[in-house]
Amino acid sequence: MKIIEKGLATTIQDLGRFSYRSLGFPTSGPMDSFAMKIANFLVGNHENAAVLEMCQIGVTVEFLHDTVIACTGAPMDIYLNKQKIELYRPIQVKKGDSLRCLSCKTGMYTYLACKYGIAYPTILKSRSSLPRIKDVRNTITENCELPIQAYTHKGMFNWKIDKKLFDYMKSKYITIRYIEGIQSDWFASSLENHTWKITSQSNRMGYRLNGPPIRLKNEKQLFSEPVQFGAIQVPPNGQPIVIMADGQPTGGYPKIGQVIQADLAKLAQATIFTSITFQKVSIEYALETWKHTHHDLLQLKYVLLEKWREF
Amino acid sequence: MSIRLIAENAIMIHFNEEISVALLEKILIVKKVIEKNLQSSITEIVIGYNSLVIYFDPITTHPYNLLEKLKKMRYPDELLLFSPSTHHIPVCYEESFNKDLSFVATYHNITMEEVVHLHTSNQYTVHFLGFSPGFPFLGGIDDRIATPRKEIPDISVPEGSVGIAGSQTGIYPSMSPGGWQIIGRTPIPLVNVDEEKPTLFQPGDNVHFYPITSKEFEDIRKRLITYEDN
Repeated sequence: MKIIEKGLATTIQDLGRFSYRSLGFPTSGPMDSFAMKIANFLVGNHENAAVLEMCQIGVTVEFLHDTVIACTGAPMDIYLNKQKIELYRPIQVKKGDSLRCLSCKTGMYTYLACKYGIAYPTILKSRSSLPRIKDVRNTITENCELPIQAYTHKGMFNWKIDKKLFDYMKSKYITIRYIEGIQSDWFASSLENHTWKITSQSNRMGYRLNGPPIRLKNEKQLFSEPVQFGAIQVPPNGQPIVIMADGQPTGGYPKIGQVIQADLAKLAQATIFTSITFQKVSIEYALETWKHTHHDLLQLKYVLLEKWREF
Repeated sequence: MSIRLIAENAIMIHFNEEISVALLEKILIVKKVIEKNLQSSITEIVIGYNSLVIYFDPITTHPYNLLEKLKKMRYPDELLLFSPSTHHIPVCYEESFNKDLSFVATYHNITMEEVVHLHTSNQYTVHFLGFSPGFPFLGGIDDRIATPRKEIPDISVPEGSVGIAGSQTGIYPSMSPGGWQIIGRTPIPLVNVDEEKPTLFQPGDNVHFYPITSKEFEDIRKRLITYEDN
């Protein structure tokens, strides 16, 4: 497919680049892996197939082959030729069709999956756009062509998934659960009992939070240590920064918490208008919750892949 | 040495010791032993100055079983196959590349020439790579040039910039925001994503800096660009 307009901050994402963190590379991967995986399952793909991740304002593309697409995540106004299309279901497209993805009313990230995935060249074993490296393979530009394998679908798609699955990005008030951070006893105050907002200086690398400053009990120096997606770091100004999908693999700020895996998608989809409260949970609770989330997604995967087997 | 689960998918080993090359070697031994013995249960190991984090998938690997295995594991004292590379890195400390050199000199009440002399006299060790792809955190700086990082970080530090932050020195492999005091620039690229080993430096490697003129800087740049075109 050919990119006509590239949107606001569009990237290509598979699940990420997981074996180069010790050389300083971020993992990347989708901000909302729940929505990204479902987009892939809807078109009968493996969960690691590369998709387009769009941020608030989407792409306009022209299809150079027949294929099947699905959009998930933040509800965006999307038109196939002149016709407004539904998200959360597979849709046939024909060679020459154009898809215009406009803006989303709630949430931040919308995923566009194509049958068989975007066959973009891998860099260090992943198709995820690599931040901070100058590389032509790495950026989406107007008029660039993203290779996809042609697929002509015979028959109709008369099924879709329940859009309620994506209700986590609708609320203006959200609670993010977290595990105590490694240096949590360094701090004089807590993340709880206050409401936080994400500032506009936030992106795929980190979400900056604004609220009552969190101070250290004593001046203390941390030696840089490994950090990952969801780590809540507190720099000297007391305004926390949450490491996101493109975040650096090591960090020198003390950590007050670590967002639980099951709530990363919810946090990623929060906007500057969302009020965030934090709730501390145990690591055992976090593990149980993650197992449930994983199990629910697995069930959905089997149902959707079964639908594809019927053709 | 303390071992604890820090997230659903991560276990940290923390070393309560002074930062040193001896500690770095110990961390690298521990990393190697874990990678050799538990390869199938883990995703990746990342190291810091005095810590190491083991990432895994909690759906396929039971976190508490892995924790027990790590606690029981025995680690040898010396590294058998530890042969770090030594890199000689040209740096141009001249004007237009040395934005904060005069600040560092003034801060320590020495001349800029002395800063360059001290920076090029020591052997440095790569403790780990972090911050951005291929960025080496180098230990071994002379106390006489150790300088605190900037209070307000620069919005854009050029690729190849050599900087100082506290008692560490390092090189920005790509353009990025940054708060280190920039004293020079190297024309040598630090990252090549088409190589199996995509970064020039590996943890444990030794690094020396030597001064070059801006003419030599341009010559090396040109040679590298011609080479890339072939």
